[in-house]
Amino acid sequence: MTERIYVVFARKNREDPLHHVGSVHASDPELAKVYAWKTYDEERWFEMVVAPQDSFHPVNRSEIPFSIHRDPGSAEGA
Amino acid sequence: MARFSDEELKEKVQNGFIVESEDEMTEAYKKALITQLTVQGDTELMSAPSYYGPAKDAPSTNTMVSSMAIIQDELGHANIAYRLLEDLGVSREYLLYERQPHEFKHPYGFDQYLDNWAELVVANGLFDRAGITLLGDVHRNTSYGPLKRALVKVGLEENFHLRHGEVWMRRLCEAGGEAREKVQRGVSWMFPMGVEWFGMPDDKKRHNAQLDFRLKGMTNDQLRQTWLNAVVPLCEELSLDIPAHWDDAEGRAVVDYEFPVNFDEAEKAWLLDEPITWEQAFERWKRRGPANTEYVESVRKGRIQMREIAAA
Amino acid sequence: MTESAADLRSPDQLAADTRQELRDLILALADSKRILGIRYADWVLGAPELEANIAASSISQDEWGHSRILYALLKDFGDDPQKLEHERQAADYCSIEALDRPLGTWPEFVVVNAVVDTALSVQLNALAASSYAPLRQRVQKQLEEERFHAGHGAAWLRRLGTASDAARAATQSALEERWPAVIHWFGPDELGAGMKAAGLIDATGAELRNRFFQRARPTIETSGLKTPRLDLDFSVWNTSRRRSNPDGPDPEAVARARGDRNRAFLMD
Ligand SMILES: [Fe+2]
Ligand SMILES: [Fe+2]
Repeated sequence: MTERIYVVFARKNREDPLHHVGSVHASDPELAKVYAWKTYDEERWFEMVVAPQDSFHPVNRSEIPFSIHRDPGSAEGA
Repeated sequence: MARFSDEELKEKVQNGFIVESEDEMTEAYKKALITQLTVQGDTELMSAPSYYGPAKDAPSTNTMVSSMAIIQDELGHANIAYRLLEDLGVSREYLLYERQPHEFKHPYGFDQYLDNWAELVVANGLFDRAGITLLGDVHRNTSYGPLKRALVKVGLEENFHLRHGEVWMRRLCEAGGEAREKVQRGVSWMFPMGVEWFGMPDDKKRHNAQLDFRLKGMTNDQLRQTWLNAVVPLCEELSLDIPAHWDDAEGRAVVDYEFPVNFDEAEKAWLLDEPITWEQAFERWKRRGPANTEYVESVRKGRIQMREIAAA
Repeated sequence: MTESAADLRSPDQLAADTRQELRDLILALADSKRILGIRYADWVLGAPELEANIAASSISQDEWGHSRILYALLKDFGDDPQKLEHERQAADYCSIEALDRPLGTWPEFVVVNAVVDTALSVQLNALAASSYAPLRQRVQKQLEEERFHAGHGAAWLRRLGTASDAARAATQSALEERWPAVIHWFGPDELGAGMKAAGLIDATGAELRNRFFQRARPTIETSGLKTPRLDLDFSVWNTSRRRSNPDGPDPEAVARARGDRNRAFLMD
């Protein structure tokens, strides 16, 4: 069982851009899809995709924090 | 690492700098962050077996769904904290499956058994309120970007748990009889648990790395007061007896006993007239409560089975 | 397909025996999903990885959600959903026999997830074009959720089938054990012929069993497992309850399904 980290991106509405929403561990892409869908079910997403974390290549910085797109101010009072 | 000195980083984060990667941290920052995330992850994780006890015997299909949804959320929140820790180089495998049960860092309240549906909803009303108080402060103030973003989901879901708790506490109290008695019984042991949840008072606590590095914004006493100001009026409104009251003159809730105090684990009852020192309270936490081992084992069952058959 | 002139809106538009058959089928699905959710829920804490805990929890909620909707449909057939939920004994349950016992091991969970859940979905899918509109309108959303259950079951079956000899053996034996109840569940070959003629369902027992084989066999065999073989035996089959064993699920599961231990707090 080779486990990988899959990064999860999703968007709520058709016109929205994809946002990074989190990540899951999974042994294959099929399981990653189910895990992502079930783990990040806080919205009724229009679209969700997953990709292995190691398939991303940093361009200007040295690491991929996967932190770029989600607006941290969009829900109050965590 | 070590792009900044501790003093430089403290100043930067107090001025709003958001840390986005390991090379922007100092050793001390990283250590404080790891401690914070471990407590957070363990608390979320151990709330799941605690809630599961009554959830699996919920009174109806609807309540089984709502309580199982809460458990799912908590497991998801634990996953978020452990994933963040993993990005900092801490093994999730170790955190979840290799520590001794007593090494988990969740509050002592989640080492207790919840005896029935009423206790589950009181836990949602009181303990999830404590979680929101703590994590809401982290969400607003943390200097660690990945955590700030992750807490968006957590905040949405924790508010649902809290509402679930409060709606059901009200419903059971209005029903009266056994339902109300069981809510009172739950509040009686969970309220002082919540008072302890926020730890040592400010005047006893030495310097605090989490505050200096802006991993949180409020002190223990401020957090406790925020929790009290929400929970005490709720209990008063529902005519539930608690050792605290709302003080109109001060405009805040006030606790009516010297805490911390002794706890009778077998009876799940606080001995409010038996004050102890904070050191004694920490010792009790460190010994962990009655359900600790069982709860930790319950989240490891399948992992152990898989290891056995995959290795065979 | 939401409205059509041939739509039936009330069970009263059906002949008495067809009406009874449809009612029994809805109850069998509802009971099976209620118990399936309880079986899944047993693994919400103890699945082999945190993501699987989360999936098990979510999937169990889906099943309960489906059962709640299906029970509610029975109101129009003269049943009282409240009584169905809280007042029946094990011997009244019409759940699939393959769920009569708890899932003691993770391979048992996976087999039930991959095979039993799929059998229920095959049955549900045969109602997706039903002329009985209230049912048809509720099936689509359930089938969408079921896609993820099937994905989870298939992925885990493959993982167990290929992890080690011991994992494959444990999975194969769990499969052999639950298999007979699954393939019998679709009933004798002609079961449902009356409903099919009325446009309530699009397949008979034999056709459903065949569809199930078509779906399950590739999943099983690409996982390195063998599809069990056996002869059908309906000699003690109870058509109305869709089972041969009259006992029903274990008493503990029924107590939980009824909410016995927290009855004092039943007020939703
Ligand atoms: Fe949580
Ligand atoms: Fe919560």
